[in-house]
Amino acid sequence: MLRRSFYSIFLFFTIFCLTGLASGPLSSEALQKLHPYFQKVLAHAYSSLNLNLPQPEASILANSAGQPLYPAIIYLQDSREVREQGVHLNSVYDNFVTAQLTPAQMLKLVPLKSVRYIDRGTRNRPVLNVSVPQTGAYLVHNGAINGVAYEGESAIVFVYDSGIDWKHLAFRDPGDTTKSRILAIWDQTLTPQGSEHSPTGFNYGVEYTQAEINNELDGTPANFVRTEDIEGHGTHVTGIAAGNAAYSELYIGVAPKADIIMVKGGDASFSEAQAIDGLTYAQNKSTEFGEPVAVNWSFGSQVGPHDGTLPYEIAANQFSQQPGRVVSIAAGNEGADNIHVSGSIASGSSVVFQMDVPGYTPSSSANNDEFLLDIWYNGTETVTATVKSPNNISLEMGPGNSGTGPNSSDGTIDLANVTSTINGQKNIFLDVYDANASTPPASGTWTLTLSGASGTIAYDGWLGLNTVGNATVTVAGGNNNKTVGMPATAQQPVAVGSYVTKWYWSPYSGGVVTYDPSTYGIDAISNFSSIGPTRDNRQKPDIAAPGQGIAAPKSNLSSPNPSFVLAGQEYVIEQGTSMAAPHITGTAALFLGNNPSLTSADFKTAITGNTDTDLFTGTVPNYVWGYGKLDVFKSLYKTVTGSQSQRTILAYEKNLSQSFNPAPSRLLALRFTPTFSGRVTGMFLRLGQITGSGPLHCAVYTNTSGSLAGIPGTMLGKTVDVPFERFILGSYNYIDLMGAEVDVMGGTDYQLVVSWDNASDNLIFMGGNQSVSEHRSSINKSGTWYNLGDPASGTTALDLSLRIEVTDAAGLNAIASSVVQKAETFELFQNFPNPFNPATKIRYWVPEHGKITLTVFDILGKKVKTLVNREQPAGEYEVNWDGTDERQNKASTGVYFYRLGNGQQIVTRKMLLIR
Amino acid sequence: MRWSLLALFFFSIPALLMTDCSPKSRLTPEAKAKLDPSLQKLLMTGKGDPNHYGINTLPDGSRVYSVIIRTNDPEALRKAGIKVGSVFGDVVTARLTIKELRKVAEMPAVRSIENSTKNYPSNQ
Repeated sequence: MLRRSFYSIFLFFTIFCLTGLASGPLSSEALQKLHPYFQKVLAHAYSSLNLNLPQPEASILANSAGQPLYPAIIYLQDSREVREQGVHLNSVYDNFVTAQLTPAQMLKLVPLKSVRYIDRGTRNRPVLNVSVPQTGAYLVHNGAINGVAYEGESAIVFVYDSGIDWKHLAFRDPGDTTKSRILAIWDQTLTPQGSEHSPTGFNYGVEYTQAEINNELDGTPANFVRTEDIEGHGTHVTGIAAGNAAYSELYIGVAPKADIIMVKGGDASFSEAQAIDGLTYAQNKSTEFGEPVAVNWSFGSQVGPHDGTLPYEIAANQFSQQPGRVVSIAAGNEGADNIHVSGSIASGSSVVFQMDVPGYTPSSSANNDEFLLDIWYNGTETVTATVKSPNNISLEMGPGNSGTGPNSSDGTIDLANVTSTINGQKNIFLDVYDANASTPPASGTWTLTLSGASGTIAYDGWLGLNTVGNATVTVAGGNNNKTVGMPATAQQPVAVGSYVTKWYWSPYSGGVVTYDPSTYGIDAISNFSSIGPTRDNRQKPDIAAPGQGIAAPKSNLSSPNPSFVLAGQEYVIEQGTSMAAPHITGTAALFLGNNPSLTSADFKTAITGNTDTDLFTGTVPNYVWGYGKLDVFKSLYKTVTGSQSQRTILAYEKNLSQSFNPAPSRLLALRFTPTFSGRVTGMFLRLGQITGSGPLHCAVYTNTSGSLAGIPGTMLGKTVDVPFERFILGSYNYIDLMGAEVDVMGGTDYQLVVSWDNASDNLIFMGGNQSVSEHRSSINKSGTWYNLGDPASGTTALDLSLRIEVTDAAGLNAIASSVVQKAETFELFQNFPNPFNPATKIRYWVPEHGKITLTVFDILGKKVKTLVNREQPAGEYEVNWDGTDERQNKASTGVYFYRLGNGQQIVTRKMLLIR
Repeated sequence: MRWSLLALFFFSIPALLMTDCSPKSRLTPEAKAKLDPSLQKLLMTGKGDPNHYGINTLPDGSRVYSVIIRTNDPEALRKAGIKVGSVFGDVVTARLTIKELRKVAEMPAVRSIENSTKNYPSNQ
């Protein structure tokens, strides 16, 4: 009786304690001991805690009771107290232990005195979102160049922008999230108060040091750091260049270990002079910290000469002359706005520019409804400029004059007809705006006439500002040439255009969101990306990088459209050349981390000389793509090793409208044909539906020919498994296949096989826009392979859509290594495997282009099968013999000879087939 | 006494002009030609709006305008009491009151002065 009572009391006490923990408030001191991700986990595991936090990403682990498990690092003084709570410790070190915790265990641990902090820790070798693997940066991070991980360590990513959410985990040390990676912030918009100060050498703004930022992150915030990023632009840009996986392994930046400096120049606009001061600050900090610096300018203007002569362009140019400094600049987003006009005026004649101001509702305050036409020409010739408003208010300026028109209900008119102090060239500048809110620019047709030309004049002009209310002003005859803005027309800095790597994504609210659903922009240039050349006909943009559908950190103070906010509400989708430029800035940090003395010129040569080109880029350089698509891997590989490498993403896609549901099969294959020999390093897949937890097994097989699409033969290398939880709906998912350790031969067919085990699991595969001919896909039913489209398979002619990344670099794969070391002789290698059944591979080396034959003979000298009989360029090849003769009959057990000839030499080896 | 007042009145007009107390006082043609049209307008009107000028207010209440000065002699600016921000070749940044703007425009070492352009984030 006594015993039963004791048990009852014990049970009651236990329930009381656990209920109390789950329903009572968590002290702020206890909450601060949790990594912010775990705070969200508790908030959603226990609504009674009343923590108003967003939904975190789901755990991919669970215990036997189905409760989610979260890998954690527990910083503590004494592990006994934690053990006493029933927590299994996996590893125990002096100051921390590792464990997999349920939310309930987290609740029990945080109040313990011995527990200092429960950290999420960093995750390695993640499945990454699109732009980083697309550019090959993922390979660079993961040791594909000589086994060294290049992640931007000891280099500074320096961003001049709208500020930074310095609390965001992507900018903290993943090994200790109480430490910031931000070395300094200069907020040019703040006025010093109290003990705050401006940076040395400047009399405005407030500088915050890393120590001051850390003091805010250590669990006892001093509330000293006031700088904010309300717009979220600077946070996003910095995250692309340098964000890490401390919060999410999905959205890592290009240089995740770089140091960071932010200069906040404003919220929604930035002053040219203050941007120049930012460069001086970059110089000073680079010297102070002894690190090279990669500067990002994701801003610009269309007002000016477009010839690289504006002061901030000259400053950026000069800044870039010193080793260890690179500036990357957004090319501009006016590539589809038709804001450029050009032409010539014959001596004595005139030209009329017509601008249409649509009907609109003016903005409520002054100085925010404005349009501006800015015309430039070289030479000493002169014209007279005359502007006429829709209600015939007129203002004329002769050569050398400038002024403001009469007060009128049509708006304030400034007109200048001068020789510019900027570059000594002629500039006609018309600015119409609402100096008084009650007199905004009038709707209707405005004209600017240039008349009485003293000689022939060739001009360019830009509608530099074109927004009144919510309407857009247009100029008749406008085109999209020469729309690369300033400061991107600067000589030495890298001007970056944008192309598309993501068209669909899944917001935190669920489902899939897309840009224009009537089209599909993947791989193409972003329609907004500004087009070159410069007005003085120099090549710009220099290069294109991913800039559309880019997921990167979201400032917690920003309020973007919820459709663009991703799971956990810590990341957001944005687009613009603003997003393309930091891909180059991050790349520059990788280069500078490797070689702090690298010059901007060398960097530019490396990235523009090792781009990716395809049907979308066409012949490069051109004024849309520059020198092509950024390839971080190829460019850094060349710089580090001095050797050329190859990397390609083979796209096998049925058209976009296809969604392929393989059920009930869960074993699929796609035949792929590498264009060169190398290692299979990754694959991309796009999913429309994910059911179950997987994992997805991925493996490369030989191809067995004989049917429309061929079918998988022998597995090569190892299988790579990826839990379904790692996949995102809509956008491409990248899978690292370096672990498969498969080397492939150029021109040879292989099969990429994907499968899962549980019948209740399923994936629906989505198409893309790089359609290829059908009959590359197969499906396995009850142990038999069928080609898709083959009536016997019971399927219509659907293709599995996948992309496969193949990389050829010495040190990365055995084939590439052997190619590099290959002597210039005709060689035939021993087949593998040998003895064999049913198939074997034969490799050979061709030193120069020629007619090649590879033939199999039996022991009596009778020809069994011709494997190769065609022209082949120099290189290494591999062919598969499936042990059949010309009629596809199986050859019998015995010794066979295989003979390689090129018309001048013959080499023969023997092999053994055992049935 | 009356003569004294009259004398003071007549002498004070050119004195005021010479010390640039009036925002609309004239620059020499050479100095005016160093200014871009927007800065010429600023001196004409004596005030600029924040949409067209980089304006900040100092702790003493005075307004300063972000400008870019082209000179090969930034030291001359410093000697004249101008706080110089950045120097890249002949590009020098400064934040000037209207009075300082006039003063800098008159300096022989200064080739030109430009209003700081306004830039916008390049996202869509």
